[in-house]
Amino acid sequence: MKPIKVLPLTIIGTLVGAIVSAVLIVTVTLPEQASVQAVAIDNLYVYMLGFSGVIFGIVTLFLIVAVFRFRARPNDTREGAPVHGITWLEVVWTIIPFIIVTACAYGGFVVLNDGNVEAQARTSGQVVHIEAYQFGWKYDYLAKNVDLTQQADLVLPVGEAVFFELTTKDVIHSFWVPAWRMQMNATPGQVNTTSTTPSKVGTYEIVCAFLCGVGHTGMNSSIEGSIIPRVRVVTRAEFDTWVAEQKAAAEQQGQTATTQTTDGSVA
Amino acid sequence: MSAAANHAPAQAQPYKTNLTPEILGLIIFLVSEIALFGAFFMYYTNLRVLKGIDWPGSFDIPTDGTSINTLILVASSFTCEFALLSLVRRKKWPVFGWLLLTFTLGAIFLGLQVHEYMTIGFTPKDTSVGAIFFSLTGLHGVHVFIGLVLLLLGMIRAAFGRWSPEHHVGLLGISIYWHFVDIVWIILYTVVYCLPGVVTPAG
Amino acid sequence: MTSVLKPTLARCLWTAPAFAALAVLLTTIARATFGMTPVLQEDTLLTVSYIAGGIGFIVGIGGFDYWWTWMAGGVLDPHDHSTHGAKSWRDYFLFNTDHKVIGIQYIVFTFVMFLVGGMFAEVFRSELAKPGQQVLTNEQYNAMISQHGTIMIFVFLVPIFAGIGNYVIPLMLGAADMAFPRLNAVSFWLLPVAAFTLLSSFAFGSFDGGWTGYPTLSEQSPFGMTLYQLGIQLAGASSIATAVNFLATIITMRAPGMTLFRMPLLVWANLATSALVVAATPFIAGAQFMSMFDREMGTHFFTMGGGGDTLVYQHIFWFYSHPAVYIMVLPGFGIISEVIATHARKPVFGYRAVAFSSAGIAVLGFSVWAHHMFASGMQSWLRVPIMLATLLIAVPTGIKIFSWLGTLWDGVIRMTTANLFAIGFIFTFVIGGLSGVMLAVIPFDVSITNSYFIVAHFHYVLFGGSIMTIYAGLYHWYPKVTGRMYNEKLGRWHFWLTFVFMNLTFFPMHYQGLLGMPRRVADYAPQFEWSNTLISISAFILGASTLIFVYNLIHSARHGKVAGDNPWGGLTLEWALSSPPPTFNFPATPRVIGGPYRYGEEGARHAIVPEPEPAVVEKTYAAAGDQA
Ligand code: HEA
Ligand code: HEA
Ligand code: CUA
Ligand SMILES: [Cu+2]
Repeated sequence: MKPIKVLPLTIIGTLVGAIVSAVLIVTVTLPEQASVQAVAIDNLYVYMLGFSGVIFGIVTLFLIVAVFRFRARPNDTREGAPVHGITWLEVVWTIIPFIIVTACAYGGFVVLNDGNVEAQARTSGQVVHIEAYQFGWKYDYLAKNVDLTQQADLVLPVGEAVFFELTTKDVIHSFWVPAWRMQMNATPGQVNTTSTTPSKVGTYEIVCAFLCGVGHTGMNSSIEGSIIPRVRVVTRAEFDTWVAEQKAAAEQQGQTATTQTTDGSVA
Repeated sequence: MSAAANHAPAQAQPYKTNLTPEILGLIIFLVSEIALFGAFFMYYTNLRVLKGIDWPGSFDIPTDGTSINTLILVASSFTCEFALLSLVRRKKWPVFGWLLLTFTLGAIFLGLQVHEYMTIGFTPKDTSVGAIFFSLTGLHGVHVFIGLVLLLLGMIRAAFGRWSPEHHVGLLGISIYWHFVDIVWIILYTVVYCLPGVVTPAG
Repeated sequence: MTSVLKPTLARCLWTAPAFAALAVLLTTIARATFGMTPVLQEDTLLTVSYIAGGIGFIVGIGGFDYWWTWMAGGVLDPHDHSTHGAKSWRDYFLFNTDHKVIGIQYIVFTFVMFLVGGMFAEVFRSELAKPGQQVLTNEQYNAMISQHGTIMIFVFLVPIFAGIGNYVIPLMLGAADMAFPRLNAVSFWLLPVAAFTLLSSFAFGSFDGGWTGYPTLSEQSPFGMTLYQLGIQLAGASSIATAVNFLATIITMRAPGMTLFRMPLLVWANLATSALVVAATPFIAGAQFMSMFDREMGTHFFTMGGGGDTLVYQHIFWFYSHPAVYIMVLPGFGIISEVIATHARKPVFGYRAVAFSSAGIAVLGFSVWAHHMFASGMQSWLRVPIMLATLLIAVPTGIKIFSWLGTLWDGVIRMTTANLFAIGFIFTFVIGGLSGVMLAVIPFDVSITNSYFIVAHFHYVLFGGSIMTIYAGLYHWYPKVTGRMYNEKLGRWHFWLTFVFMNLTFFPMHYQGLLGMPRRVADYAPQFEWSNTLISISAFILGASTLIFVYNLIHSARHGKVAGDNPWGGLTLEWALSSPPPTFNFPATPRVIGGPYRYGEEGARHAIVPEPEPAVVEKTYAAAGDQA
């Protein structure tokens, strides 16, 4: 039997792995990219899935070839080669993964910082305060103008940074909008912040991602028959009219601070 | 199975090392004890140092009484060591006596600690700082208590004359444990009672 | 009826209740004297009776019998081996100090717990098979997943490795037993107590906080939550005791000539694991203590009022539970090194690198806990260093994977079931590891954390990693333990069914997570219907395939081919003994003369085991630990 060359096999493994990744990337259609950050995060995902596929391809190809090529025949009493290691090879397979993960960390760091519009959003963007409770969300924003806690869906203008302040009344919840690729826990006793920039007009699901008790399952607007609000992203003009309507409605009620929560109860 | 299997066969002398397995095991166990205290210190640090929360109601930790108490515990570590040293005389009562003295000092420490609990002016239920104060000192107190029980066992065995210069692994273990309890207290005393704790003012 | 006085399970039947009753009495008296109201407080009384009952059980089974003499000032007989070795199956239900008996007790007990935990998974998978809610209510669903995770981790996965280590390590080291045989037995018997505590919580409203039991949700839960906290403490105590034992054994009881770098890699892996256990496990104990005080004594560690800080629970919890995932996989890595080297007839490629990478993983493992908290609102300066450390762990793990490939390469690979599982392990673990690396990158993690992507990741590393190694190990040492061969044909069926349906069960979960399905929910959006149905069906077949394994092991123990001492041609010391090994292992101290994996070298030997010298026998034997 001819000895197998390792380098060509590595190259084939790389190609096979790349194809596997490509197939996965193409077939798994992620949720709509509805925020500026989503694009960067998805690129990161594609990049990581890419090199993961390659590593996977190489490892499995070697595994499969080894199993078929070096398989013992029945009643085979040979022993393998008494090789205890090849130093240069071990150095190579320490350094290459090291480089890959460093690159990964770099990518993560860049996206983290660029997605980090927080500072800017905090000053110039829309500030939305969300209070989570068992089992729903309560919004409070545009506080200076008007109390908007009575509406159900979270309405936001497209293309403008939003800054979220999350609190909770009882246990941990997690505010997740898959289409924005954004999630943040609401942790008892503290204000957690995060931000995003919606980039597409549309209606998106809000999911509570953290086990918060019996109603956790239902705290997800994508479940059929759910009364949990969604996010509605609209144009600036529509948003302005909407705000005006809310203001008028609030004045009519004489600014009485009855806060209707999303499950219909009055707090 | 060979015929000799049911008899105890010649056994390996432990691989060359000066540590007996018992003492090594004890030391490893004490590492895990340190980790247990570590969990509580982690909480303490977060609360007092990172978040800067102060004792309930502008309360001052009673340092004077506790300082004396600290000295008592430190002294008991020495008396415990004397018990080991007096083994050389091959008499049982000196060992017993030193152990008894150690035990008494330890018991006084525990008594004063309980006294401090009664007079301190807040309870474990008063805010998180109260909780961590009582659980840190209480966890240590439990260790003192276990140490006292061990000392008692050491005394019983001393009274029967079971410790000798050749055979005293158990006593060595007890003394190591007691020193450990002492060292933990010194750290605890420094961190909780002496250091200001609050770096950034609350708020 | 002397059996109620002798250390048997029958004696536990009265000692446990007696201790519990005594505790209840004392508590009531104490409460009455200190004027606490109400005097009879149900939760407190239940808590103390569980604790005291547990101690009573250990007393009843005989955990302290030997030490009473010592405590009363008497002289111990270090040659007392009355509790050593098993003569019939009944002895497996008694307090036994033989590491081989304890190993089997561990393995059988924890495997039963695996079936129980798996049953829970099957139950909630049937709920998830279709959207809408059919089988379980929300409460029951939460209770099921919490039990599933907790049982699997604390009374199956962590202890089963302790069981395998118990059986194999003293044999590999050339020792007669573990350093502390009685402590060893006590650590085993703590496990049934822990399992009982966890499972009996169903009678008290169960616990519903997931396996993580985060406050403040845990403060709302019924009394079952306290039992979760207690159960974890008990399992944790058991695991610390075993780790102390392993460390003392590995450090002091090696046969002459067994230098550190002549130790088999399984021993290395357990050395690293035990160090992790000793340093990390107390943290979860601390977290559970605090959480329990909050629930039972009204303190404010984690409550919202009173200045508590729930985030610290998460820090302390993961400070244990991340190292714990390596506790759950490093011994498996050790098993894989043994299995692959033996069945591929080749020395482990890069022995030292593999040994050191275990240590590297153990050390790095302590610096990455907060990757479970990227979306928790923790201190933001912690995030990037944690991400870096997490990513770096891929390097030592990669060294292991590549070294195993190097070991297989140019070998003469015998495709036994044990080896099939080892090879399958590499395949599935790499998938799980790679998704872990993706999760380590903060922006990506934050976009899908707490989704099924995480569930996919950890089942790939837990099932595709740890469970595959366990199967590999159990098949590998089965002939040694029972003296008979398992049925290869059934083994192969078991492997292929497990491998295929494991992937079909857990791979689609990545997809669900990416598309926005959160974890720990009993119902989901219609778009996830087909994938969930597929997963549930695969999960049922996966569960059923386990029965083949159980049947194979039980059946072959009586009817299998006689295995002989060394069916695989292994070089490590356990293969030099008869199968099953004699009660006191080695007839005389073996002498180690070379590395453990000298396959392919003509006439190479790892150690020399001398013939017994009956004259010296009786006097010199003393398992260390008996004189204390
Ligand atoms: C056996 C258990 C086990 C193991 C071994 C691992 C291994 C790893 N895990 Fe996993 N993890 C869990 C069990 C485990 N995990 C569990 C139970 C949870 C969820 C807990 C819960 O919330 O309930 C979890 C969750 C979890 C999270 C949190 C997700 C979240 O909640 O948002 C993260 C994030 O960083 C993570 C990362 C990693 C990484 C980087 C590794 C690495 O160690 C993996 C390293 C391995 C490889 C990378 C593959 C082999 C390497 C090569 C072939 C070399 C080349 C590779 C590269 C260059 C990348 N894990
Ligand atoms: C070692 C660990 C381990 C193992 C082996 C498994 C095995 C399985 N797990 Fe597990 N799982 C966890 C650890 C593990 N899991 C953890 C830690 C969680 C997180 C919990 C949390 O969120 O807090 C989790 C959560 C979890 C979820 C997410 C729940 C949710 O978030 O809502 C799901 C969903 O499908 C799942 C499924 C399965 C399945 C189908 C198996 C299958 O492999 C099971 C196969 C079945 C068997 C092996 C049983 C066979 C039994 C018989 C055939 C009957 C014989 C019976 C008797 C005699 C009693 N698991
Ligand atoms: Cu709110 Cu889950
Ligand atoms: Cu982790």
